[in-house]
Amino acid sequence: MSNKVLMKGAEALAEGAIQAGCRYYFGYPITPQNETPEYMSRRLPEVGGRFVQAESEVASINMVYGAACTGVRTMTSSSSPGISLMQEGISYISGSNVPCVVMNAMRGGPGLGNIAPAQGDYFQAVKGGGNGDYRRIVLAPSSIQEGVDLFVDAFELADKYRMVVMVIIDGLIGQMMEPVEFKTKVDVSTLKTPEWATVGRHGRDHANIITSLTLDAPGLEQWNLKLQAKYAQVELTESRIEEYQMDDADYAIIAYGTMARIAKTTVRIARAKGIKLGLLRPITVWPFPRKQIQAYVGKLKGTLTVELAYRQLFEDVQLTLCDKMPLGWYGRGGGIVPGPQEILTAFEEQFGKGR
Amino acid sequence: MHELADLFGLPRAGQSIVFAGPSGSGKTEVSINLALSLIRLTASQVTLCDLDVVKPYFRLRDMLHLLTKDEAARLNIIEPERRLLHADLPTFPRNLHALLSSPETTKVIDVGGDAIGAGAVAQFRETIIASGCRFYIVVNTLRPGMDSGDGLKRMLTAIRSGARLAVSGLVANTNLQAETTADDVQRGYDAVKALGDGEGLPVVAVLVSSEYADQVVHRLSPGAAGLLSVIRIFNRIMDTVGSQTEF
Repeated sequence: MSNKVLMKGAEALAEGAIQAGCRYYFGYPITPQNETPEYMSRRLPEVGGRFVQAESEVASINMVYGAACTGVRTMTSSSSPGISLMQEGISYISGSNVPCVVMNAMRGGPGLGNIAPAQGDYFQAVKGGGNGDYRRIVLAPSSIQEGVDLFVDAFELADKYRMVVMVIIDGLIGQMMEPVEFKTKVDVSTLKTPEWATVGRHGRDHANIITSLTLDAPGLEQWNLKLQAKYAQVELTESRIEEYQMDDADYAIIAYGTMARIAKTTVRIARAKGIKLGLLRPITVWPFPRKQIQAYVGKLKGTLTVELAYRQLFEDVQLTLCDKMPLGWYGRGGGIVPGPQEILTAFEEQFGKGR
Repeated sequence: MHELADLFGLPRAGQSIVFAGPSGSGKTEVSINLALSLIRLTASQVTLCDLDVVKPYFRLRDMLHLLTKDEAARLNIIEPERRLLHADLPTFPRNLHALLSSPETTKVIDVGGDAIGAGAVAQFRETIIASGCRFYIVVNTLRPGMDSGDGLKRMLTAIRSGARLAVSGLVANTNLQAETTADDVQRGYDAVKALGDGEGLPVVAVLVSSEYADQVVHRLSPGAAGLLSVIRIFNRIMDTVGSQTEF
């Protein structure tokens, strides 16, 4: 008998974070991820952790900043407009070189938008949102189980690089239910408090001070160069992609998250019709799996980027493939999720019958 | 295998059958399946009422296109105003009191998850009780926190006090979607039966989905098999994204 339970995405990812060693959660409710703070509020006290419902998203992210400075595994979660409010804090945390995890269950935008699934926060997650030259690692699971598994990696990566790691899902993964299994359990007693943590002097001759403020320009430049060297290392070693039915593919769909999952069905339908279609699914959208995608130059006749947004992922595909092959695009916004057949129709409109 | 409405006993016209339960236990699926079963077995008008103020993400309306023309024609669906359907506001449909006290139509009422969702019906309790109400709790023991006798008991106490309605019985809906085994269904029934025995409540139905019924039905104890009903799953989202196993 398996150890599976039936969970809603937003609950399962919360449990995934706890299994990954997260003991401190700070957040403020917003649909479609309310089950995450709700679940945390019930579960964290059971495992010796702390849950605080903050008065706002601005407060939540700054509480995360504070907890992160002590070297513990901490996170927050929200949905699009709430994540917008957190951008200042994310920049400060990045500038202070401390680790944390932020989950965004993306919904329809811009503005207050709606509560339906979307991927319109790609630029915000991948390119910036807050001020200054910082990057965060962005993981984009395509199923609830993958999200649960990736949460372990999220906290490992955050600690390893002292970076903000974002996990981006959409309202659909947050709200749907699937059987899940928790395969990895991190024993928090084995997690060492890092040297840099602000938890008291403990006999050292100096106090640890964590700040994102560096008043002198040469000093701040040096600090930036340090961060840049770290980001370059992450780009070199941490990008991930899933390549599905790519061995003999003439064309590839490029998509992530929920959209990639739907596109897999498109690939199967297309192959049944004799179209040699495959799927390239970035699992990290930053660092973007450029090398892995560029390896198909000369092998593919074209790619179709598909997203629940308007030419955001597509921009990274353009930067990756430039004019090396025809680049098609299809997307829906506002919370509309295209089905597999709709994507195939878009493919055929742009690439003919794919032969 | 039984027709679902037979397991519940045919209600008289005007009666209300209310489903509550922990979040994600399958209240909406049970409600819609019972309403369709009542349409098959009775001549009376059947009204399916969405009183879920907790999870505005999935609505009964989303499932309408999965019904046959005949089913859709005979089923009266009551839910919040269309423009407020996804407003994330805890709104009720208009004229709810009038509907709930109507002697002509049999009501199947789907209330929101946990005690907070169940609390939404408390304000209508006088009307619902006057209509001759039956109140069932739907349980999937493979949901988080529902795997122990203590957890089940806590859940029952919380929902009971939230809804302020006397519980008529329990519905065993243990499942892992397409991955459900006979073992899962049997253990789920046993746990719900134990809860019912401790509380003096009957288990009214054991539900399996048509997706996996064939592999399950012959392997259950007589107790569970005697209460078995096969239900249709109305899940627009899984239809779009495909199951995890395929993925």
